[in-house]
Amino acid sequence: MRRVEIAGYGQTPFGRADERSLIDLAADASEQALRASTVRPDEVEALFLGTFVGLALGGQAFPAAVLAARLGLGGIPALAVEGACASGSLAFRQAVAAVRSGAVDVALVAGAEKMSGHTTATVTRTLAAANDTASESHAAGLTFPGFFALLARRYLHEYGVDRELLADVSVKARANGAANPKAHFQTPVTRAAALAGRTVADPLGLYDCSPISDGAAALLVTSADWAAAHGIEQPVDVRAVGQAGGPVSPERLESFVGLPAAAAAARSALAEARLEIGDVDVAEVHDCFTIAEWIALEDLGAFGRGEAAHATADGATRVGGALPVNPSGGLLSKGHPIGATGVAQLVELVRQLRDEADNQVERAEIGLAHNVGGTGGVAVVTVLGRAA
Amino acid sequence: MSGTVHTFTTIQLGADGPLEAPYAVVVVDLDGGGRRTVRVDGDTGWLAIGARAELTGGSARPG
Repeated sequence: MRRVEIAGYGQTPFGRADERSLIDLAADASEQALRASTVRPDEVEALFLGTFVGLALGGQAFPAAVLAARLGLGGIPALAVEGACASGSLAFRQAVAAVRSGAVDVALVAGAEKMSGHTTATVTRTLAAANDTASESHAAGLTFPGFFALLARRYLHEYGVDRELLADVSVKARANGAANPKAHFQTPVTRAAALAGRTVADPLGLYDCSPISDGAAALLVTSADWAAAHGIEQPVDVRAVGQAGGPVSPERLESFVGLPAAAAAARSALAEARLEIGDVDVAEVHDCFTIAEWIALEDLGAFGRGEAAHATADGATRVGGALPVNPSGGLLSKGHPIGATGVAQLVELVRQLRDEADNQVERAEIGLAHNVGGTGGVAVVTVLGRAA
Repeated sequence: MSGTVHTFTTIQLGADGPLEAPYAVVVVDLDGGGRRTVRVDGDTGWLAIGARAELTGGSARPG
């Protein structure tokens, strides 16, 4: 199979983009990626767009064709990919498959979401549809903060962990985000302030939750041969992309302290890359809530069950620690424009592997991204490597 | 039906729809096997992991 590389990236600031639409945001990130990679629009052979609530919140269906038209990509195949919060990674995986198979040499991947301008209750209801809406838990009124609160309660109980340790995830995320000019939250938070946030779904409070953000990110995916022939500078290798499915509602979960799709996607990706989790130098994981970061790290095998909480408290996941996690600020601080998230995780890894990151991990050679949709109904784990 | 509480939460920030926050959601391991996810009507002070629960219709109360 052909080697696949990332030739360039773009990203809008995450946060509130009052005057800009979903398509405006996606086009901005895409144009940045094209400019940065020196790939011309007429060289792009396929477009994959990850997005989730464009129709439900913004009234924009059919977003891939609209984006292709905005970018002047001609009549190339353009496809929108929807897998809830994993939409961006799923779009990336489709692009990698298209390039790897030889179907195309150059694919543009964008992920975008426009979420502001609605009440929190409206956004919460819209996101809550990312599971089996015929399920008992949906009928019971379980929201996503509620679902992760169920996991958090069980985690704290099973491992005898103090609720205050969750704040360490938030404090780290905000510290990293404060150094990332594109992050939604630009200020650090103290542990005391993080613990004093109002309750959203106990035991989770405001600082345990990712914000409602607008934003977009984009990547150019090319074959290694095409990148070499076109003088692409500092390409990054796509070593593997693993995808797995899992329970589409909480009542189908065997355990409330792990998401099996994430573990399966990680096993698949690491096997394909012929690497072990210990080989990973920097990780971007799906910390939609503080508890989700601990569970992610344990599903990945980076820490034993019940150990991620204490590892976080000990600083193992800070930049400079044994495994820096979410140096971008993560979903908690960088923000979580749903469809953009998976692509933005990869943008951060590309920057790390090119020594361009705001919170640079020294000598990072291998980066891993972990992106989860719904209640773990889908997960994608991607492994990138510094080009030889 | 009766069982023990596996996990629970009280949702303070709700979604658009008929439900008025706050309301509690509990996951109950049934005595005969299987699991239910239902709301808790009324007092929630009894909720604790391992507490006994009685399920009637779509809601749970202390068992």
